[in-house]
Amino acid sequence: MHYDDQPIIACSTGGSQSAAIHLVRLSGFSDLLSLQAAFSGPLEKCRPRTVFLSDIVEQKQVLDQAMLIYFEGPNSYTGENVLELNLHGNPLIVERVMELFTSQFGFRHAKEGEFTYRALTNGKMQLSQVEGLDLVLNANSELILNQGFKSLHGELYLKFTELYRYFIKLKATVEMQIDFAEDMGQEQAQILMDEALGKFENLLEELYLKSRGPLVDLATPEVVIYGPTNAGKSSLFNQLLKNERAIVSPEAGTTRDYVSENLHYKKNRYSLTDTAGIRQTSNAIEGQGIKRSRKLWDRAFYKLLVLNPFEENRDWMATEGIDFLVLSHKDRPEFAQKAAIYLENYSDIGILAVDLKNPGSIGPELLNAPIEPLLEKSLGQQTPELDSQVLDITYILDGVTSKFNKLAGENAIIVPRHKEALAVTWESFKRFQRLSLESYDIAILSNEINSLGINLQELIGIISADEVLDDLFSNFCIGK
Amino acid sequence: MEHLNQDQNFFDILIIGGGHAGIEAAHIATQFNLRVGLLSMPEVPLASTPCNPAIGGVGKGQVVREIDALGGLMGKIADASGIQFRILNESKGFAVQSTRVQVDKDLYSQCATELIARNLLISVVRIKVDKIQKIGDNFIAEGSDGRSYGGKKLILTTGTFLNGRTHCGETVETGGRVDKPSSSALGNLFAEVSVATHRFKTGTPPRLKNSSLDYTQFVVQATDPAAFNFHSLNAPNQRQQKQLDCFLAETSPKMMQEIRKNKERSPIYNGQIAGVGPRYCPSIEDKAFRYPDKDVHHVFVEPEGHNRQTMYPNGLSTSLPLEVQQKFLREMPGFETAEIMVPGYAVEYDVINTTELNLQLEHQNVTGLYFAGQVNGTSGYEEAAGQGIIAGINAALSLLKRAPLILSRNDSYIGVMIEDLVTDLRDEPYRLFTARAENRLFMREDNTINRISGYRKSLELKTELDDYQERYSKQFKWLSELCREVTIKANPANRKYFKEMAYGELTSNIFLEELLKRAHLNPIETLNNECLARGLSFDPLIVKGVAISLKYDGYIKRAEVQGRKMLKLGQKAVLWDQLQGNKNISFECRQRIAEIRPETFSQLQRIVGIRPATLAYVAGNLV
Ligand SMILES: Cc1cc2nc3c(=O)[nH]c(=O)nc-3n(C[C@H](O)[C@H](O)[C@H](O)COP(=O)(O)OP(=O)(O)OC[C@H]3O[C@@H](n4cnc5c(N)ncnc54)[C@H](O)[C@@H]3O)c2cc1C
Ligand SMILES: Nc1nc2c(ncn2[C@@H]2O[C@H](COP(=O)(O)OP(=O)(O)O)[C@@H](O)[C@H]2O)c(=O)[nH]1
Ligand SMILES: [Mg+2]
Repeated sequence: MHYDDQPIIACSTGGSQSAAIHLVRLSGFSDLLSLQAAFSGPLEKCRPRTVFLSDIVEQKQVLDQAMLIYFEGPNSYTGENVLELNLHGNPLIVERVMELFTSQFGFRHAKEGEFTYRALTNGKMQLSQVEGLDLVLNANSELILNQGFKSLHGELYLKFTELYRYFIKLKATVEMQIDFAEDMGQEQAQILMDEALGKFENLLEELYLKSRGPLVDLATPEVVIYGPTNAGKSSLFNQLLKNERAIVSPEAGTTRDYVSENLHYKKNRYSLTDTAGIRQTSNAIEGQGIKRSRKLWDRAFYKLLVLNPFEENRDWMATEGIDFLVLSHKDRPEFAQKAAIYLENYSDIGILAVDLKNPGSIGPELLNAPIEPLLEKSLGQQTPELDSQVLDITYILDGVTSKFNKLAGENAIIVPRHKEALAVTWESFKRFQRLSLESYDIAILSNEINSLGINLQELIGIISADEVLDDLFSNFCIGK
Repeated sequence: MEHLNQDQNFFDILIIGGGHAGIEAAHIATQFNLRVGLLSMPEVPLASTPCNPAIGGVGKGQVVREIDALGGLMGKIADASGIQFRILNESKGFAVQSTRVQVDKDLYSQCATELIARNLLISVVRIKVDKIQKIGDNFIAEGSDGRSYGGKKLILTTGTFLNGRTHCGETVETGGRVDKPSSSALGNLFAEVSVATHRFKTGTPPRLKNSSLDYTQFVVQATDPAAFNFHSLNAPNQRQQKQLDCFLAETSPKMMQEIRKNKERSPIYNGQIAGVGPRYCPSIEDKAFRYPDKDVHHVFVEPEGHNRQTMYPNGLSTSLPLEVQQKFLREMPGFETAEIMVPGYAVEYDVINTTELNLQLEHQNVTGLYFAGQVNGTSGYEEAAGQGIIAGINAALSLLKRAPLILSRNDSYIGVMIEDLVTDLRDEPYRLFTARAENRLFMREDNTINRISGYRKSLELKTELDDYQERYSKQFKWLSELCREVTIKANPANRKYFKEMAYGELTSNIFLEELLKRAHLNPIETLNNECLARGLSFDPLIVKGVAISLKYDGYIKRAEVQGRKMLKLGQKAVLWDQLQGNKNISFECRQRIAEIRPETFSQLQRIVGIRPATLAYVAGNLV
């Protein structure tokens, strides 16, 4: 990504739709007075960081009356001179004003993320702060928003640099083993190294655990329904959506093999996915679908297994990583006897027994059946009475929210780049530990330490920024 | 001027200082058939070892071999005067092993003097230089006898003598070493050459009468017959001198107490010495005050030579007054009746600002003027010699109008050292550690010729050494290929053989290379066996080099891949002047940056004291 340092302009509020107000930002002009021709008011009276009212004029023709706020570089978002124009919210006005500045004042339209890019290059922000900003701007939940603010304020960054400091100490003790063991004695050198190792490991582990959480990106937690064919998955899917019908978003993700819908619940947004049932098949397309189901399941944030207790489910008893079990066909006689074995086998997760009487294909309108909670555990909520009359599929959703909040409460690290770097660092550290037990060859050990160092440097941003920036800035909306 | 040009006393290259740097520079320059004048103080023998008479050590052993492969003298002299050979870090893997040779002090200088004397292109003048001038393109040095000497290039290797002052307790004298004069005049001769802002300091322990120690209380360290000589044309294990033992002793709590009692009499601690000493080579006072809880430190007791009555207690460097030295020494086990022959002392001296030098060690403001050795702020004989040979080669190449020789930090310790010196100001005397080398797995003693022969070849000097290196390279290649290509079949005979040799299982056919890499085997012994078994005989240097190279091959490749990413970043240009006004960078970091003016990210990274936050910030902005 290569930018010049021409002044840039963009509408920060989208600008393509009518609204009460639109905000247009200009950055990188040399001097506020150089823009005087575009304003009727005397700009020398426009003091930084105070509101100033003026008409915007093009050859005596008034384009709009605007509120101006001037930020003098370097005390601005980008570090350059910045002018914000609050215009009336008509797209046409916005267009004409932008046109004025691009045609007569040497401005050009900002590229995606360019304001933030300038903030970064002018040292107004650090890489991890930019990532924080990304989170703040694109947050779809409170958690993400908080995380974003943490990053913006550099808290996480401080932790990372602390880890790096410990690493330098550790590396020093390894080097000592090579260059100074003779002077200080092998024993002493070993003690120092073990000490440093301990400190580093503690902090790394803490950060790593925070970053690990679910395998998936917490920004769009995915709830996946999974199980054998005909267990009642699609019925459950419809039921869940129906239950929350009012807030189901129309965004569709229909593919041939699985179906996803967005689901808003308690200030958070999830995606809910119904997968193809798992069975032996000779049909190639169905086979593909099954493969994808497995994949979806593996990286799901919340795993809902649906089983029909009247079927032979021996193969499913050992399924790992389930968050919640739904037993269908509660309406059939002898359900209690059939279900007993599942209660035993899945004693540490939440289980719901349901009657999904209305079978059939996908579609929320099909469902209206009563569903009763049978058993509800381990989710930090009160356990409802067995056979209670409460029909509340929200137990499942509360389970999802509770898992989400639990991870969030632990200050999870959710910036994908940080997660990735921490995972690689952790792996590399484990390898180092293993080697240090097995190998007498200190040069090889120190080699491992070096790769650990490279990973850590990535974490605190000592890397070639190109790749990161490219990726990052393509996520930014213009003008932000 | 003209008359001087014709003069006996006008040389192609003039060198001031006959220490380790000076003799290497002189010797290598004559290989280009140039006339060299070597001016050195009459009071100090050539290539003298004022401190621990040992050559090599961790990181430094590699340098000695690099010098040797470039055609230098140090390895040859050390072999000829070596009275004890050891391999350091022997139990820690091949890549970090280094050779150290204890030398006979007198023999070392004697041997150096002979080698120089035999060289008809070198004129040694034993004189103290008082004044240096540059007139036109030439340099003139005036000796204390009033005579002038000239040269087209000048190499300054004056060691610790620039404004040197020695300290022994309250006694302060001018001099680069105890009882030797100093070179005060040189300090201000070149207005364009700046001296580093702080002075450096180094010290040496008292020398003890060898018959006054009780050796039964020490641990004996014998010479290691397996260690290879430094000089590649010498038979690796053949010793030229009778070998002697060294000993390991320990300090005692009572002794450390005695030192702590005398804090106000220590020139380092009472403010008498302002120079900065190396942290890695602390005096015994430093150890006493910096580590108040630690009373037991190692002391190596080393003979100084066959014909000397003195022992060198390595680890007891001190500048305390003589009577205090006497007193604390006798509190050490085995030292109860120790007699001091020469007291320990410290010396403070000026060093030049090496960031004004280029990678050829030539001063950027004074064309034709080179600096090498301790005057550049390094410490150690090997470091000095390594710079000496580079300055000598480049002065010669420049005179012959040929391209300079610059060793890369990726394949030599000399390259690491010189780049470090010219890219950063040092806060303390600079010594080589293996830790300074990014490419340590590759920069080993065993493959020195592989690493250096290309450089040597580029000098186009056809000597015996060059023939040897060519032969070596061919055979090395040949044996490496053999290891990669020879298959050992998993047949009953071989299985039986593997069992006999304790080689481990042989379940399927393997390449010889794979056998060498087996973790439980010593690759050198194994390759030796396998060569013998096939009736092949190779230079032991080659067998060793091939075996170890194969062993590390995979690791080195991996490190290379990892390094590449960083290398890419490291090569990116940094606009240091733009960082100056940047408030995101701490004041201290900006100051360092202004002093050093890093041009690439890797140079920035290597600046001492640069914070990770600064690096992250700068890296984040290198788009
Ligand atoms: C007290 C002391 C303790 C040391 N301790 C250690 C140690 O423990 N380990 C270690 O590795 N190294 C140690 N060193 C350092 C080591 O001795 C030097 O690094 C090494 O000798 C430097 O080599 P050189 O060629 O740069 O200078 P030197 O070997 O010092 O040679 C300089 C030469 O220049 C000559 N000279 C100087 N000025 C003039 C002049 N004006 N005119 C003519 N000739 C001049 C001198 O006569 C001398 O021959 C110590 C040095 C000293 C003095
Ligand atoms: N009686 C009864 N039938 C059910 C229940 N759940 C699902 N079914 C029936 O089981 C069949 C398969 O249901 P479906 O939701 O399509 O299962 P999927 O293959 O897992 O998606 C349909 O005929 C449903 O009517 C239930 O709770 N009670
Ligand atoms: Mg279905």
